[in-house]
This record gives sequence, structure tokens and C-alpha cells, in this order.
Amino acid sequence: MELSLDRLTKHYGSKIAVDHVSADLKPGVYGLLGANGAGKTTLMRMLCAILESTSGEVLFDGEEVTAMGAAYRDLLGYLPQDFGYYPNYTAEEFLRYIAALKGLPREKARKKTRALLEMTGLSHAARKKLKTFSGGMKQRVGIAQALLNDPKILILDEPTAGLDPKERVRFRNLIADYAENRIVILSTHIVSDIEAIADKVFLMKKGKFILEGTVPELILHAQNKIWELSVPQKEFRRWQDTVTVANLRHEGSQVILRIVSDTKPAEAAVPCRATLEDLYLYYFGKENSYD
Amino acid sequence: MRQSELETYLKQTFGQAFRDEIQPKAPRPEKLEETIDICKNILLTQKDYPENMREERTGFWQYLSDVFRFEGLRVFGLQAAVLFFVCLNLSLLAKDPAALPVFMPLFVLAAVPALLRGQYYNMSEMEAATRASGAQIILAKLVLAGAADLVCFTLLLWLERTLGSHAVETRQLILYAIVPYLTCMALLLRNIRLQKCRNALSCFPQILGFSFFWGIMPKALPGLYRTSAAGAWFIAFIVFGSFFLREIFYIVDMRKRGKMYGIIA
Repeated sequence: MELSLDRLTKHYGSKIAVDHVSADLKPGVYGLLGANGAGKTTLMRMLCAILESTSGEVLFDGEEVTAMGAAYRDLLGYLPQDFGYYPNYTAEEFLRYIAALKGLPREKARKKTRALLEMTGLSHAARKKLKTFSGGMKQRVGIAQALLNDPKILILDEPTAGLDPKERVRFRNLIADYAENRIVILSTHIVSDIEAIADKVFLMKKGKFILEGTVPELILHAQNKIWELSVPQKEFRRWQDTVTVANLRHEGSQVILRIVSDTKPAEAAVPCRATLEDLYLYYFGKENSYD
Repeated sequence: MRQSELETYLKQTFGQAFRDEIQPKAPRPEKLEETIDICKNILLTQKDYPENMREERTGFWQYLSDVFRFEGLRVFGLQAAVLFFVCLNLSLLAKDPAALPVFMPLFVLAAVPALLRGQYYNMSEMEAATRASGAQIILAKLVLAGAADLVCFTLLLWLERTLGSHAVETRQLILYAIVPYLTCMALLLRNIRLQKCRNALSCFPQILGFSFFWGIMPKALPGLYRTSAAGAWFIAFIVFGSFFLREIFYIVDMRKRGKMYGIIA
């Protein structure tokens, strides 16, 4: 089982959202990191065959996915970033509605719905209307609907948004377990989620993959670029304005800064071990926000 | 011969050989994992792996029945509400059949919430990534709305025929009902296909505009409502019916190819 992206490109007028992206995805968890507007959501929509590419193609085992049509979507589970819901449906009704769209026979849909509500910790709220659900509960319903057809390819756009830390850990374990013999692609705001479960990470900027590899491989790119520096409280603002500060903590009258910089920012700065978040800040630190 | 009789016969005939060779042996636990792994690998290396592993899926008619379960009440309820509203105006219709076309776009209006519900609730993207294509979703809802409309129109025309005191022929009454409906529905489907109708609210003014148009027609072109103008109505039926059928063909074709219909994620 292989999902191949072959020079995949998407233009919106003169704007290039995705620019000649190529990759071969085999079973495993793939993380997609990039700032807002990097093209992650556009890429995911093309992977789901719900958005046509300007050029290039997505191939599943050598077959073009838009040509496969329903046969491809049958293998697919998709959680969009900003998904809506029918407010008057209960969680159970909603899942059974999506199961009908996915072509699951009724009895199978009923069993699968119950199992997924149980798995996502929503059994107690199965008969409550979605409009009464909290953000985290809605997100869990979204995750459950993506898993209804036992997809071979699971595409999740911001799956952990709105989940509390306990739910996030449960979700990560679920995905790690689920990814055996399946392709899971996820983008998230939370770098630590990708760090914890992704077998391979793609760093996306301006529609291109600028880096790809396993987490340790990627972290090597940020090695010798992360520094720790202790500065007096009054100097802290000046440092924050001049360099990318990944983290800070107060220790007495001093502030310990974690700085992302190509060069040693000060004589007293000491190098420290990089993380995926540091790498992210190294590439996107100057941009307003990330996702 | 029953299974037990066959076994007895084989035991008697072959004796020990049956027990050793023919009777199935229990699986050896130590080999079970190995066998499962071999089977998994065979399946995974087959080119048509997804085909083999695909679970049972429902066809269009089962899907239609599911859509009826989830959307049927809403679609039929709205059509019934429109029929009730039209029936309140039966005294007007009984006197002046030219008023009939004014009400026909309202039946199209009643179908809009069901057709565009996904867009309204921001569900299109999620629905589009399911096995049912956007075209299939629309087609199923159109079948439901069409069935409801057929019942409503039959009832309305029967009431009009029974209570009406005018001399307009039944076939002309049918054309008064069907032409505005087809015109309006063809435009709505075209707008959805070309993504000009992103939500229910943006479609309402167009449909109500059609209703208004048919309302002023008897004043602007009174000749159109004479018996002698039946030919003009028939031509309009052929023309707008063709537009409507073309839109239906688009949907059916897109459904066959598993494509979206009027949705850009």
C-alpha cells in the first residue's frame, strides 16, 4: 500500500498554494508542520480527492485517486480543520448519518457507532444533541466519524484542537496503535503531538516541503542553533526584540532564555539540545503564528 | 446423506486412515501466529489489496433509503407546508388558473434547505470525502423532493380541476404547474453546479423573483393564458425541460464518475 504525491501543485489565480510537492507514503504516521498559509490544508484536500490539483497527481498503488473516485474515498477517513455539524443530530445519529454516506450497512453502522463512541469516551453523551457538546466533545465526534469505515488512509487536519491534555494523550495512543498497516497523515498546532507519534515529518513552507525526515533527523538541522542564556530581568525585553526566544523562565533576578540563533548570541550563551519545536521556530520564528 | 452419516461411513470404511488423513487436525498453537503473518503478507503484497479487503458497502437504493431516514421528514414536511399554503389560496386558484404558476417556485424553494444543508452547516467538506459523492448526495435528495412534489402537484391539480370554475383544459393546467417548476429547478441546479448558490439564503431571492415574474405575467401577457396559447406553453415545457434534464444528466454522470457536484472544499 503506497500513496504517492507526484509534483502536486495547486494555484489559486496567481497565488501558488502547493508547489510541486512529491512524496511516497507507506503505512505509518506522517506529520505535517507549517505556518498558517503554508498550504497544508490545500494539500490535505487534494490528498482526499475533494480538490483538483492544477498539475501533478496523487496516486494510490499507482492509480490516480480522482479516477478511482468512490473506491478511493472508501479507503479514506478525513477530519477537516473547521468542520461543521448538524446541531439537532445526537452524536449517535450524526455518526450513523456519516456511516450511511460511507456506505456502511445499517447493522454494521450501529455496531461501529457504538464502538467508536465508547472508544472516544462519548458513550454517556450518545443521545445528546451535538449543539450541547463542548469543543473537545465535538472534536472527538469528528475523530470518530473519520474512523467509521476503518480507513486505510487517515487524514487529520488539526485533530487535537480543543482536546484537553488527557484526551490528547489518549488520541495519540489511539493513532499510534491505529497506524499499523495504515497511512495516517496529520497536521497539528501542537508540535509535541507530532514529535510523539510521527514516523516521518514534513516541514512545509510556501507550498513546498522544505525539510522531511524522522524527528531525530530533523532535529539535527537545529543542532548548534539552540542556546541558553541567563540575562538580568531589565535586559530581557531587549533580547526578546533582537533574537528568537523559544522559551524563558525566571530564576531569582535572572531570566533564562532559550534562544534560536545560527550564531552564538552572547559570550555567556551555552549550546543546548534541540527539540522539534526549536526546529519549527528556527524556520518559522519570524512568522506571526504557526499551525 | 447427512454429515454425521457420512463421517460414520468414512470411519467404518477407512478406519485409522480416516482419523489420520481425512479428519481435520486441530491447529497447532505455536504455528498460529506464523500462519496469520503469512496470510497478512500475502494480502498486503497483492496489487488489488484494497479490493480484497473492502467490506460490504450499500448501493444507491439502500443509500436513498438512508437519506430518506435522515432527510425525508424535513423534505416532505416542507413540501407539505407549501402545499398547505397553496391550498389556503385555492379560492384564488379556482377563479384564476393563471395564479397557479406563481406558487410553483415555492415548491422548489421548499427543496433548497435539504439540497444546501451541508453547505449551510459547513459539512460539505466532510461529506465530500465519504464514499457518496457530492453528486450522489444531491441526486438522492432530488429524488426525495421530486417524489414529494409529484404527490403535491397531483393533489393540487385534482383540487384545481374539482373546485375550479374555469374552462382551462387539464393538460394546460399541468403545463402551468410544470413549466415554472422546471424553469426554477433548472436554474437552481445550474447555480449549485457553478457554485453561484453557496447557501440557501442566496438562492431564495432568485426563486422568489421567479414567483414574482409569474405573478406579473398575466398582466403583462394576458394572451399567454388563453387556450390558444397552449402551443407556447408546450414549447416552453420542451425548452426548460431540456435544461432541467441536462442538469440531471450532469448529476448522474458525476455520480457515476464519483465526482463532486458544485462543491469546492
